[in-house]
Amino acid sequence: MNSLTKLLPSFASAITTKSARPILAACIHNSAVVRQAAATSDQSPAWTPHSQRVGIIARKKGMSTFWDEWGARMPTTILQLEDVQVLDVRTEEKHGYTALQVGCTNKKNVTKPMAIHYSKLNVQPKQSVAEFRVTTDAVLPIGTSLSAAHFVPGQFVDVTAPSIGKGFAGVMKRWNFSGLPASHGVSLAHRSAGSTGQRKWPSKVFKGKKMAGRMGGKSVTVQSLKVLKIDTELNLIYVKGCIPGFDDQFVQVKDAVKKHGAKRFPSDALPPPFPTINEASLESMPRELIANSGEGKDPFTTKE
Amino acid sequence: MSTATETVKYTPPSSIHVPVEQFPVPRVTKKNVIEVVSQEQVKRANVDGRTELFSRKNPDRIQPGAVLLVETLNSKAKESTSTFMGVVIAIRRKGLETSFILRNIVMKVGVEQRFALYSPMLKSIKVLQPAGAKDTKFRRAKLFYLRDQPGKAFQSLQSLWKLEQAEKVAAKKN
Repeated sequence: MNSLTKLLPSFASAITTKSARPILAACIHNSAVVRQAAATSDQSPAWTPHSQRVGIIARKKGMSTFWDEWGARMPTTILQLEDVQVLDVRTEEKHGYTALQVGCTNKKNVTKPMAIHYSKLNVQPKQSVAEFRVTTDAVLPIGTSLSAAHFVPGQFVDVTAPSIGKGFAGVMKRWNFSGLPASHGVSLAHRSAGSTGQRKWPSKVFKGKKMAGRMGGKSVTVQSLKVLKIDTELNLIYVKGCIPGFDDQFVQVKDAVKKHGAKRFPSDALPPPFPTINEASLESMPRELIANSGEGKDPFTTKE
Repeated sequence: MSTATETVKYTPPSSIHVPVEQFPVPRVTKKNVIEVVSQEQVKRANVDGRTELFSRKNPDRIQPGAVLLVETLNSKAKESTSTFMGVVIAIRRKGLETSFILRNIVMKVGVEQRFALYSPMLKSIKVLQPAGAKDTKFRRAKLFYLRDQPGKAFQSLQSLWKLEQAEKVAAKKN
């Protein structure tokens, strides 16, 4: 325990192909549930419609376009998983709830307490860490790598990320107020809110009155976005639509909450990889997996 | 996680399709994932050499002012196509999202249509008259001024259309 370099384990580095990506053995951490999970790692528990799988942290890389098999065009956001690993397990007995702590993107310089903490987990320090609630059958051992193949093309996901900060925004931008007329005698108040209340009664401004203030920079969740494509080699997920935040931001992706049970996944892709994709399946997968539109019929034909 | 090394063959369910032509894994750095991936998609979508038609350096590229005939599929289920002929007034180069606008005057009404170059519904592009021919030389990249001052830009389109129809009939006869 003399120098920091001894504490940090040496490791295969960031963006490598899946053949060079190791899945670590179960941890040194003291957790009965984790040891139990490691012991039964050969038989993964069966997925049920009530199971909740772990989510992942990815980086928003940018946007592109996508044409489905019928020629319909849709915007797509590309998310990349960079060294996503499970860092901790929260259990019912010890913490009162069941969750997995997931980390993303290796980091070099950390404070000594964090370095010691990560060396005990036998994992490289991570830049972004978040927890995901899971059911007890979806618990994974510490150090498990999560990959893009955890998601099934055609399934629905929720994406959470901090929105772009707009600073101190005026009332027209923040609340879509229409302001005042540009002419006809209006002086110095073209973008203002106007009146803020009544007169003698109630003789106050109500709480929550829409006013100017800081806008953006908050956590926003976009729900039920379809996963269009998965790249198992580069660990990319192509999601339909837009996602809050700027490029290279850390976003949390998990299975959609508003689609219950089996409806999250395409009906012939059940059961999904549970608790996550295993090495053997990952090795056999081709690089690109693209979702079909799932409609079954051509959207460009009209009833005749 | 199973540690056994069984060779499990991956059979995709019907909701997933695996493209036949899979690219080998490219070398990516932290910054150029989008560029690399969209270049691959352009290669895959470039089925009939349309990238070369719109590249920046090709001497035979399509330039603003050229007259094109574009054939688009109405739907993938049917064979029927729509054709549109017009003068290229704008080319927007954005990798996979590259698009161009054709303008024509149809029954005294100006009509513009924007086509996505790599759309699977775009069947073919035929150059009827390259730019710079027959005193229709344009010195701009975007010819939006033709909406107000068309000049002689659209005069030759009718005759070109008739030529094209004649060629089609002749081809059918043969």
